[in-house]
Amino acid sequence: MNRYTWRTCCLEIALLAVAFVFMVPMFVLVAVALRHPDGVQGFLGFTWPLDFSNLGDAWVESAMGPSIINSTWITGVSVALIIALASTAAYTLTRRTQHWTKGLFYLFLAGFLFPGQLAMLPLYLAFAKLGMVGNPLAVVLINVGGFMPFAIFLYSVFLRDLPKEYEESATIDGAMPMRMFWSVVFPLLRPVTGTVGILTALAIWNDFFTPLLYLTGGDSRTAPLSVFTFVSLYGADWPMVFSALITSVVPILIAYVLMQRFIMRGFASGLKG
Amino acid sequence: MLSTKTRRRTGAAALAAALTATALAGCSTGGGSDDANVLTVATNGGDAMKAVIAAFEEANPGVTVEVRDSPENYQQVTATQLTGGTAPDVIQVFPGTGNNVSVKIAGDKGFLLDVSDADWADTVPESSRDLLTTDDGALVAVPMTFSSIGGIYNQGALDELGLTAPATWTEVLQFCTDAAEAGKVAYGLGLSDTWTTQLIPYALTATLVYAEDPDFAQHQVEGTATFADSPWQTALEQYVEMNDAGCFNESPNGTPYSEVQDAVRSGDTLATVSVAAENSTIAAGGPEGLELTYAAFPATDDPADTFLSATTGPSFAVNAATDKTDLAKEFLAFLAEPETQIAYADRYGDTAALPGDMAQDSAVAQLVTGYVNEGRVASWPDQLWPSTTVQPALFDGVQAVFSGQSTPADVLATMDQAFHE
Amino acid sequence: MMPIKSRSAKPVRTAGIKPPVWFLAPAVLLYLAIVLIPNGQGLFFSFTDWDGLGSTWAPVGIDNYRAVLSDPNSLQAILNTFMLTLIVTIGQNVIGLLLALGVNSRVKSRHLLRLVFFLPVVLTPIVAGYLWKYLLTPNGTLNGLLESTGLGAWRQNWLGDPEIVLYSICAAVIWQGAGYSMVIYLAGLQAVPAEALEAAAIDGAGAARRTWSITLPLINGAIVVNLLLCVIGNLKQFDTVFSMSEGGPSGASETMATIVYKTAFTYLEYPNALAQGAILTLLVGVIGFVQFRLTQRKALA
Repeated sequence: MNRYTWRTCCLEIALLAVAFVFMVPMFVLVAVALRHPDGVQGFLGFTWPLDFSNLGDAWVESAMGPSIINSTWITGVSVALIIALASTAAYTLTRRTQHWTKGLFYLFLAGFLFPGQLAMLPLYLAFAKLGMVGNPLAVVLINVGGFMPFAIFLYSVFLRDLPKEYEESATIDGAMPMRMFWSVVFPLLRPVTGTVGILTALAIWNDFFTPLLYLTGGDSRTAPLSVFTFVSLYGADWPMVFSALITSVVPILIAYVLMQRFIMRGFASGLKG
Repeated sequence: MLSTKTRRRTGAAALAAALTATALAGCSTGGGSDDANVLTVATNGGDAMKAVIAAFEEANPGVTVEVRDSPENYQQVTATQLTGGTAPDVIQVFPGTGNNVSVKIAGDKGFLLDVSDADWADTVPESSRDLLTTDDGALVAVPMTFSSIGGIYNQGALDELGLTAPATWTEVLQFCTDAAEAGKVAYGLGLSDTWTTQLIPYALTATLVYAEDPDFAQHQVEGTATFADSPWQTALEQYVEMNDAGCFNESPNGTPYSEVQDAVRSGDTLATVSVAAENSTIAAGGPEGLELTYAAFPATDDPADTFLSATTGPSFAVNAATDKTDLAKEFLAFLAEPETQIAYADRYGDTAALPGDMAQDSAVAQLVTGYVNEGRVASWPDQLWPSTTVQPALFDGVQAVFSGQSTPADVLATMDQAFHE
Repeated sequence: MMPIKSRSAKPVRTAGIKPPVWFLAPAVLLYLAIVLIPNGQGLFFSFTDWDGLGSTWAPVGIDNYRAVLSDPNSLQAILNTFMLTLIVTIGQNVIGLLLALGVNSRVKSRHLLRLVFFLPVVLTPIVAGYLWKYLLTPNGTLNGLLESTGLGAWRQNWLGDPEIVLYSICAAVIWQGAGYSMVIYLAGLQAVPAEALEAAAIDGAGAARRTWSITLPLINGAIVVNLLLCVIGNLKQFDTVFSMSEGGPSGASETMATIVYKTAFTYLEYPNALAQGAILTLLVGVIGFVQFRLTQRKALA
């Protein structure tokens, strides 16, 4: 099963065909973004010639550069905190098998249920009272608290399947809990850390309403807010919206590729161990 | 002594009360910048505000005006900020009722400063004044534009076919036939964006309903008039008649408004009925040399009957929680000056609300001014509707009529029900 | 990461591993402050007449709930939400799993394919909704493609026909979410030890058989996670629906979340919106709990 057989070849062709179908909406997105106002329209709405100036114009007019920097650090700090807090919490919840840990686990799961509208105003009023509206730190805290259920759930599911031998031998060696966790357990969690990292990063990067509510007008706009520079009251400048969107998702794609490698490496080392 | 059970319950109530107190204790400081020389202004109207602030900054050395433009979710965000005490110093509000950032709702809650004693207050025309005044009689906002609904025609495309913008109802139907024969769509309709469902009904009822009975909404409140038993029925039937006559593009319900804009720009669609500000939006995204004509949309066969559906547009108020009251009031006075009004309206693509003695050159403004001077203007009906469920009932109803699931009579019956909710 | 032996391992003495309780403290505190307390407050206000503006309110008991439950529009929205959740959960997971199996194989383009299938996931959901709206107009890309490939008879009014609109939205949601499920399945598949599959292959099991009886049981964790996220996420589905159809035409694609939004911001009945939010929470809770118990029992069996 390690060889490249004719079956693999068929599979490859089939997958590439599916990939093409998947990409059709993407092609249209690019076609609209690069539409030349006087060009001749062809396949999927691509014009000839293409107009690449929209990408640059959208980048400049929406101040995408600073927004990406804001989004990057808000997302980065949030994800780092989520991973640190959720992995330790999930570890404690799965390794301490008592009634209250089970109850607490379900309490965290309950966080999945709320539709967002319930807490919106009370939460905003609390942050307004603390004088933190307009402060990106508010968005970070909301992200970290809000994604705890998701991250703890993913970590718990994978932790249950993780053999305890490593930890046990480390405990016998007399390692401190914190040290033992970071040097023994956390590296074993690499694949799930990669998954949690990319999926929370994605959701935080793309979140529109929280930054809109908390950061509107300030100097700390995030990338999706910049995309909406070109949406106006009665309509939108679609070539510009889609151009801005393309430039805004590049960082998250790079993160995905890096995370994929991270997951792979974790896989290899996890198996060997 | 309290039993354990009661004590626990009291504890829960106390906790709830404490949480509530925390949540509701308003923030004392106004929103926006801590810098005394920075004035923050919230708008959802695009660049128009940015176009006028330079003059204010020049007249007030050291002062900076920060514009926060958020077309998406403007009402939700601003209403939340008002409640949280974090709203900007000057905020765009909506005349009449209708949403949480409207004069009659936010104003009645005490969120907007009373500016009745301002020098410019007397220049606000009677028709606008009512919509900008709270129920306590406080004028709270300065109107910027007078917004109307009419037909926007691609003049180049009309010239090519030798057509002119229709001035009577029969001409409208003829226009549709002529367009169809030339392989064009007469009027683009993008009902997938629900706000567009109301445009043609408002344009038609201006002439059919509100020209005949300006106090129609009042009569509805008193119970002496209903949608169902009024020329609203005729208006919706004419809407359907247009559809039957092939005036619109294929399946309006599945068509987004942005596609209509593009089709008018390219000339594949000859016209659309929309708000006046769309003249400049459509022109801005179109090819060079695109010429648009704006005309009132007729509903009868006598051009002299035609009323223009028009009302007070974006208006600005001072946040009552601001600590820069004087600067903010000064800014409102600046907005009320004729030069500012015209600069704003030109950028917004509409007619200035308080032009004073100055004339506004744009074709839109001239048309609107003509109708205003002749007294042939009717307000947008929804600004006088007492219930927030009437307009959504119209939106849903129009879509249902276009998908063949409802009739004008049913839609109006539902609207009557919503009106008295 | 999950060697197969862990599953067969006896529930061994965990006495040696007792992480300190304070490991939980920061997570619990933040969760309380950001999620539980504000939602508790929201729930509290659903029993009052607070309109979300200003600071006056009075308790009204269950009046808001009574008003909401007697509204016939809510029923249609609940049915739509169940339909959407069912279709999307099945579609997204079947496609996501197949894609994960595909890109986990030896195909040469697997790295590229992983990127391609993930691309839709990175788009801001609201903008992705607009993109699909653009594709599905009467003269849009899809109808154009059907026309040019001789399938003109399949042309539809994808978003304008009340009978079709919900399915069109499902397709867009699945397109955006399949890569998401794929990533989670892939993480599970990476942990399936090659030895187990090779042993089965030597025993003469075909590819389909190996997948069904060896791979699937081993990625049960990923299946549980995916199904739960999918069901819960789609019961609360808002962004794509709202940007594609605003719940229309005339309510044909209204979901519970769009109803809550409209009640709060169009009808300005904030207390009723809170009551609807609470009911939605309860429904998601019941369904999520039942599903979690069912799948988890299977997973741990």
